[in-house]
This record gives sequence, structure tokens and C-alpha cells, in this order.
Amino acid sequence: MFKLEINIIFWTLISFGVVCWVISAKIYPVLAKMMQERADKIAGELASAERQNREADALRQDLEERQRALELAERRILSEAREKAKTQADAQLKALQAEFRALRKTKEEDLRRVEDDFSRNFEEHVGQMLCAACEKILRVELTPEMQQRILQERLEELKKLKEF
Amino acid sequence: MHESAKVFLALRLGRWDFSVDATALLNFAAAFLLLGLLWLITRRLSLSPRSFGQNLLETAVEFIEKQILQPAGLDKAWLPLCLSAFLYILFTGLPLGVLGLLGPRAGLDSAVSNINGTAALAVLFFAISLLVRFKKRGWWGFCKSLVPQGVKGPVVILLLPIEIISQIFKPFSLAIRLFANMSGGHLLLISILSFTSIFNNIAVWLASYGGAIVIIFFEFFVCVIQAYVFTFLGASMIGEAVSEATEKMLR
Repeated sequence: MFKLEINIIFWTLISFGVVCWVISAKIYPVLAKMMQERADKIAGELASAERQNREADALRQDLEERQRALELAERRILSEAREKAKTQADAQLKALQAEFRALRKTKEEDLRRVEDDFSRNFEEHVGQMLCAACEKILRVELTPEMQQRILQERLEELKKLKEF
Repeated sequence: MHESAKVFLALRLGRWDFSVDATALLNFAAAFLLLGLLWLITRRLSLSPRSFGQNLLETAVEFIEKQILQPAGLDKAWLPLCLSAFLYILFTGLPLGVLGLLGPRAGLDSAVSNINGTAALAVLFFAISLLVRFKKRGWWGFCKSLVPQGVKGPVVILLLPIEIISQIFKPFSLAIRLFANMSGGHLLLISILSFTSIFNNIAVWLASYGGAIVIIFFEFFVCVIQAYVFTFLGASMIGEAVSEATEKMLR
């Protein structure tokens, strides 16, 4: 059965009022301030992290651009070096070839001269020996024309032999 | 239950009885326990909470803000009141469970298992909602807010008493709900423990006290739910008084 108890109502309201006052005046402001500080701190740190993230992005983009530029420069330098090396190599090859040709020409001329000298000496000695041999065999003294003709004929035979 | 509450300090003012009985004493004990715990927690507040108490208190604050104030349409200014109501009901309800084994026999009771205590809290919220509504809208706006939107002519005469009665019944239902839920567990405890006086048997004693312990844990759960429900409905009453919807309704 319901019974009105003023003392319960009164003391309930008093105790609740005390709790409400203490929480409103002493507990909640401190807690709310601290929670607000934490929220501000978190917001600040988030903003800072966001800013740092943006800076890192910018730095990364800058770095990537620099890397791309360096790669391009590297390719350009390598390409130029290759071109230069190729040009130098071609020039050296040509110079060497020219030198080789000149040397070869000189040596060929020397060889030809030596051959000519040899032929001339050979012809002279062989002619003299041939004429002397012919005079001894035939016991005649050969005129210069005859000597010349015999020598000419033998040389032509020798030439044919060489060609063969 | 409360009829048997022991009087510790008899105080009478004319025909009004303000005696401090076991119920009032238990209320104060719960209030001081709550305030003591809050003082201990707030003494060591830190930006990065490490203590269990601070985490629990911040969770309670967040819970009340997100689950009670925001659905009720109230701003943060109402948080201390709602936090106080939630914690007060929780702490005055929990001794009911803790002292449940002793309570029914020793005449211990608490505000939330006494209809006078729950009625006091419900009427307090109702009075606050009325005051807020009156302060926000004035006398004419207050009267207009009692009439549903779009109702005109003689129907107003018919609906106005119904609306007034429904408003009066709000704190009544609030008080009854809390009282019935909290004292239900109390009655169950009494019933189970009364077996020990009927049957003088060790098995019955063990079963009774074992069952009582289980019910005490269930009471904790019920107490938390009821603290939430009471605070939410009380906040809704105030929220209704200050909400934009009511203002639009008045236009």
C-alpha cells in the first residue's frame, strides 16, 4: 500500500541535490576541461599530422621530380658520352686507317724499290754471267746489240715464268 | 519493505516528518560513496587515462552525451544533471543488490526501491521540464504547447484535458517504472531468502543464498538498465520542452 513519506522525498531530493551540485560544480567542469583539452590536443595532433603528411607528400613529389630530372640528365649524359665516344672512336679508326694506309704505301714503295733494285742488279749480273757464258760456249765475242737481244729474250722468258 | 525502516534521527516540523531513517541513510551513504569515488577519480585525471575509474567515468560521460542527450535533443549544458541522475540511481540502486542479503531483514532500502524516492526524482525532472518550457515560451506559449499541432476549434477543449493528464502521467509512469523494476528484484530476494526461515535445512540455505547471489548480479544489470531508462525519459521530457520540433509546432 502506498504511503506518503515526506522524509524520504525530502532526503532523496537533498541527497540528489548534493550529488547534482557537486558533479555540476566540482566534478564535471574538471572532467569536461580535461576531455576538451584532450580533444583539442588530439585535434591539434591530427592537424599537425595532416600538415606533416602534406609536407611529406610535397617533399616526395619534389624528390620524385628531382629523381626524374636526374634520370633524364643521366640518360642525356650517357647518350652524349656514347655519341662522343663513338665520334672519337670513328676519328681514331679513320686516323689509324689513314696511318695504316700511308705506312702500307710507304712499305709497298720500299718493297717495289727493293724489287726494282734487285731486278736491276739481277738483270745486270745475270746478263753479264749470261753473256760471259755464251761467249765461252760459242767462243765468240758478242756485240753489245747481240748481248742486248739475248738479255732481252731471257728476261721476257723470265717474266713469263714469273707470271706463270 | 520501507514500512519497517528503522529511524535513526527523529525530526519533526509541525505535521511534517523529516526523520532520518535507514532509507535516507542508505541514500546518503550511496551519495557519499559516489562522490568519494568521483573525487578519487578526478584527483588523478590525466590526458592519457590509465586508471580504470577515469576510463569508466569518461565512458559514462560519453554514453550519456551520445545515448541520452543527443537522442533527447539536449545540449551539453544538461550533461551534469543527466550524469548526476544516472549515477545517483545507479549508486542508490546498487546497494540494494549489495545489501540485498541483509537488507530485507534489517529494513534497509534505497530511494529507487521506494515509490516516494522515485516519485521525488520523477517529479523533479517533470518540474524542470515545466520550468524550461515556461521560461522558453512564456505563459501563452506554455499553454499553446499543450495543444497538439493543427488542432483548432472545439476539439481543443476536448484534447486539452487529455494532454494535461498525459503530461501529469509522465512523471507518474517514470516513478512507477523505476520503483517496480527495482523493488521487483528486492521482492524476489525476500522471497528466496524467506525460505531459510521456513526450512531450517542446510540445502535450502545454500540454495537460497546461491539463488540470491545470482539475483544480486541480475539486479546490477537491471539497475544499470533502469538508470539509463529513467535518465533517458527524464531527459526526453526536458528535451521535448526545448526542442525545435515543439517550437515549430507552436508556429
